[in-house]
Amino acid sequence: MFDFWHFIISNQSELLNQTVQHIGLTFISLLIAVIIGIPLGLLATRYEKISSPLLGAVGVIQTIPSIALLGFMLPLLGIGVIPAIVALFLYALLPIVRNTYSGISEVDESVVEAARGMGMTSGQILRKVELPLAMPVIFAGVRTATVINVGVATLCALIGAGGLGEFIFRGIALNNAVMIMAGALPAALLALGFDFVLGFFERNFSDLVKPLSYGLVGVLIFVSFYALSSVFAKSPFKMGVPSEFLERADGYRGLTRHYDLGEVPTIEMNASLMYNALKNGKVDVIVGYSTDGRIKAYDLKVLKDDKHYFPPYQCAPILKQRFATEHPEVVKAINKLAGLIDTQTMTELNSRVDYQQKDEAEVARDFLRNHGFKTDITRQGTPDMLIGGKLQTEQFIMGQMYRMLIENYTNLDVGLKLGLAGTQIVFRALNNDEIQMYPEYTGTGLHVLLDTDKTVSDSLGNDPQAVYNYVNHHMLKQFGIRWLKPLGFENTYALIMRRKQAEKLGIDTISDLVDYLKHN
Amino acid sequence: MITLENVTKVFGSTTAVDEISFKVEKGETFGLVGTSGCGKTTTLRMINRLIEPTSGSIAIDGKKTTAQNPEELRRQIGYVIQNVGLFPHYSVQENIATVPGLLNWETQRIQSRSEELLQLVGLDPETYADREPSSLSGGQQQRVGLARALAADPPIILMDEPFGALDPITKQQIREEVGQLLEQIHKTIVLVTHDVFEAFEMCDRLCLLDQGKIQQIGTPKELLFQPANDFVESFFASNRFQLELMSITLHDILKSAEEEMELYWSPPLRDKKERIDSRESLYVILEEIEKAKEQNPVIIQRINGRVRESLGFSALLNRFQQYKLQMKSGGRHV
Repeated sequence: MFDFWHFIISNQSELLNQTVQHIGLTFISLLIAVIIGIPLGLLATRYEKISSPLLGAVGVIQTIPSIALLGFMLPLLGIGVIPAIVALFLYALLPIVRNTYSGISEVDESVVEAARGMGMTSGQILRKVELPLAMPVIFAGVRTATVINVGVATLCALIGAGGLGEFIFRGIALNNAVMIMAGALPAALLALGFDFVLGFFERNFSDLVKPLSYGLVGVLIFVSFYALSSVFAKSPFKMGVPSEFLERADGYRGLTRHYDLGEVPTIEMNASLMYNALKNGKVDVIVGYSTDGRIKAYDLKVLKDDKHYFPPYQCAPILKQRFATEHPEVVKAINKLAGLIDTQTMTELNSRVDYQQKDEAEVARDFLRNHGFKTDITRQGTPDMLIGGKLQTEQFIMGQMYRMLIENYTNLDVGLKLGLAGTQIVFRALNNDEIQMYPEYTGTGLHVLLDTDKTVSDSLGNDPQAVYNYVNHHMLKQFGIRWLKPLGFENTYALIMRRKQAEKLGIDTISDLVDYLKHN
Repeated sequence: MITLENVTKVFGSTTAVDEISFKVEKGETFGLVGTSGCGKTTTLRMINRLIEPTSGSIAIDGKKTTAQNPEELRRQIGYVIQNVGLFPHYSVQENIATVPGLLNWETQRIQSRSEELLQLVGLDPETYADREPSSLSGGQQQRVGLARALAADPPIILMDEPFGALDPITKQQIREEVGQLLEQIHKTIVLVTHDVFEAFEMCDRLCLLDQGKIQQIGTPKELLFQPANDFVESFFASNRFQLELMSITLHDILKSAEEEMELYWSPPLRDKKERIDSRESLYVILEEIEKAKEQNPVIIQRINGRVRESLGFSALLNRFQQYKLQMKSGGRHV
């Protein structure tokens, strides 16, 4: 509990900012949904023919998982506030349209008949009779939509739209419960708060109509201002950063200190979406992975780490020493790959999956076959061991290769637990024997898993072998975990820009970028 | 007042109303009767243009209804329906104030008019004005519905099964009250009902419809005693006896009796003969008959010869007794 308060207090400005973004996202999407949804619902009551297709359509939207909806919108709208608001708007639509429709349809027919018979115009019937009588039902729809939106809005952090999801996803990546709570608790409170406020409006609707409409206009202006300012803000340079990088020892803070980077506006986003965002000009520089296939595919440029901030990140599988002793045949099978995949090969394989949309198992099998390995045995039974992996594309490919090698060269049956969201999560799973092996990077071992002192890491310098030896030795001592032979490629963190822009601005190294930012 | 000429309404492939023509005179209560689906409600709703006729024309005071904006037309015509249709989110007073509000009356005028109307339908304004419709009984709701229809003092009132949703006892009571009330305010009324007793009790003339066609138009008595066709005769057959009792007024009895029984009239009765047309004098005559009945039962039997059964006559006498009691306690006319 103390940790929690401490975290809240020390991060209060960021928390406040995220909360305001969260309210903004929820509110503006809700407002649009109300402005569009209520007339749609009314339309459905007036034209019975369109009512079932319309309600069906908004219902179908609701059944699309929120992550998938955000994913669908990537090619259309890219990342940032606008696709987030569009997605939230679509989710809010169903409860509002459906409740408007049923609220109006359920108004007693004889009441409407009487109103018509007394000479009310259809506009008057709507305003004076149908809407007031349907109001409780419509309000219930708006309240449902609000609660849904507060929840879904947390996912918008994945596409760089901000909000309380930033803490939640960073917390998940770092396995930091306090951080998750710092995002989740305010989100839950927001949902309750919104619900309460709407309930209050509903009870006092007739007295509040006038102040409410003025207030609404005010809020609309405020919210639009918020949304527009963050979308169209003319900051010359924006940096897209994955959640995990923000908090790592070899991450953002160290980078800014090492290069004296100063304040660069950063947008936190899902690691897989950054490349698209960079390509589409939503951000100008990202912190990505040097082996990512999209670097080549999107014609991006990796800036040289001229001041050697990032340590070597040789990729090698790690497993418990105990397991290695029990299953020497696994170690032998895995080590067949040692040194076979250099950085260029890995980038190429990644690009086949990321860019050419090939199946990662397919890519893995092709590679193994071309190198003369057996790949024809596939076991479907209960797994004897589980291989883990992080979210990066290459981890999916490596996981598949390991499975094929172990199943073809030993008698073990292999299961996969790939795509775990963050170093801490995968590592903890290995440490708790929930998985038996996963590919890790030496630099990450040095800074994240071992929490190595800066003087020590500086003394190791940029010597890959020295770093490998250091992490192997110390992790064996500390966790009983062993590093197998490196695969041959390095996947370092890297600052990546669009090649054209980098060339135009004459930026080749991180120092060039820092210089450029200082003078602009 | 209201003239329908060759009015036809076709819904899809069914002809709901087929070439109907009739005239409703100013101040009369005109009943549209028939079985369900005969087209009576459709006919009514065409008068205030809730339904537009397929062909034919409808005029009010010689002016075609189609020449007017439908909303404005409806504001000049009171409309009472079976399910009342009070606005549940309005108070009783606000419900009554609906049409005056639409006509942009001043607040003060609306206020006093609503109170006046609540008085008229027998609901105390102080108790009922601010009540919600849902807190009223069915009968009270229908009174408010009537008050609402009368609010802007429309010359015409259309009533669609106004008492259809009430229980029989409340129905009878409200019907009598409304009947008197309508007589007082002297409106032109078109009443749709499938209840023949209601039609006989409330209407000056009836129009009997079947399958969208007019079977006969006339006074209740004409329909009963001079049916135009078999349908008209069979329509009333099952309730014939009671309807006869209802349609034959004391006046009829006395008139026919008068000729036959000139000899038996006691002197005071004869003196009052010139006032025979006023309701009150009828009761005086009845009183005389009652006296005569005590003195000579034969007279009654002969009078009953016209009514066929003494039962009906005793019913009339019963009402007369009630009337006398009410007069004594300062009550209103029966």
